[in-house]
Amino acid sequence: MEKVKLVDSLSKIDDTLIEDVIDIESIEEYKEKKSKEQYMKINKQIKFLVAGMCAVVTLFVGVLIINNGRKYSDNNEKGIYLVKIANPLVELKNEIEMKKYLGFDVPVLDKKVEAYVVIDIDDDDYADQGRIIYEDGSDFEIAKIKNKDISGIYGASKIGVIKIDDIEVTKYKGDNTYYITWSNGEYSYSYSELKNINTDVIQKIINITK
Amino acid sequence: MKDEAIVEKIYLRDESGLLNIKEKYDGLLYGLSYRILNNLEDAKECVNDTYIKTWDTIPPYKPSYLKSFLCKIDRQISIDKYRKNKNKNCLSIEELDYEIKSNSSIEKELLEKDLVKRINDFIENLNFESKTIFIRKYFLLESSENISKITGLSINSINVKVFRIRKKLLKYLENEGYYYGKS
Repeated sequence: MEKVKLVDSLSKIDDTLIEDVIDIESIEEYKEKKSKEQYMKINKQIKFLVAGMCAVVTLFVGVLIINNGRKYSDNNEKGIYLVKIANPLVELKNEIEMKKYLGFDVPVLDKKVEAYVVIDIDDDDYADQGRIIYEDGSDFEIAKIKNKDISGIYGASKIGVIKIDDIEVTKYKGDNTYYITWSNGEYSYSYSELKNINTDVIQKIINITK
Repeated sequence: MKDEAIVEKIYLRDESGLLNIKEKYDGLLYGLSYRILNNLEDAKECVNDTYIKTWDTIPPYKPSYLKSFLCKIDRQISIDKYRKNKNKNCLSIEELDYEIKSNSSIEKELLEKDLVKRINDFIENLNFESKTIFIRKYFLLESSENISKITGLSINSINVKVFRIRKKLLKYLENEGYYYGKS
């Protein structure tokens, strides 16, 4: 099987890609080029949107004309539209990679890890989140955002609030899971288990996240 | 002197064209070589080799973008020399030092051509910020500190973004049917 070095391939990339960025010598130049590109992208998106809307209207009118007077059967198949969304889950090798990806440390509990994951949603309204999934079914999450429930669990019942070293920890019970949420400084946290989380465990977790 | 005029001079075998290149781009090329090799003499040697190769390549080739053409030659000459050196401490090269294989039996030349096309597609689909960071970090081998000065982003932010783009590139190549492993 033939092999090629990635570093060498970069020496052959398209000239226009290099020319776009090689001449930038100041922040002002960079910001100007960035705005220009964003403006062109928005223009392109508007054109696509308008073209798309025209196509939809034409299709709609066409369907109305063709089906004028026809009775619909209950067995008509519904159209299924597949929308390609970038997968926000990124699996990493270890907590060192997580730190490089997120830009902050991710505490690790003293038990076997099944997966190190980052939830990277390409949207400024969502803080990137680190998730460590343990082999015992428990799950630890951290995000650089203040006072937010980052558990991702909905419909659970709040079963109590406890204070551990001046940190308020809220306990919840869902269908098959128990979880806790808390905030400390710039970070919000969540930890879930398949069984009830006792105070000793909570204390241990709070200690490593301080 | 404009790049087109310099290219024309060399194309017509006017050696003063090389002097024009030296005046205009010596600093840029020397900086690139030095960042890879971290040695004054080696960097100087690579830049001189770049001028020789430019003279040998034009004609028949006539580059549309002289600056990137020169950087590509200089970059590869410097990387080839870097590989022969014992002390390999250019972090940007080490970070991207992967061997890429395809899941189909294909000649090396075709494999590289296809890989370059995929990399071009990947870079084109990056936003301007990511594109700037990626090319300046991995093509021009600039430091995060320098990229931070150009973009106004913090060094930590640059490092985080660099890491993410690198991961995305490898994932993208995997999805396109390539395998990769550290060299």
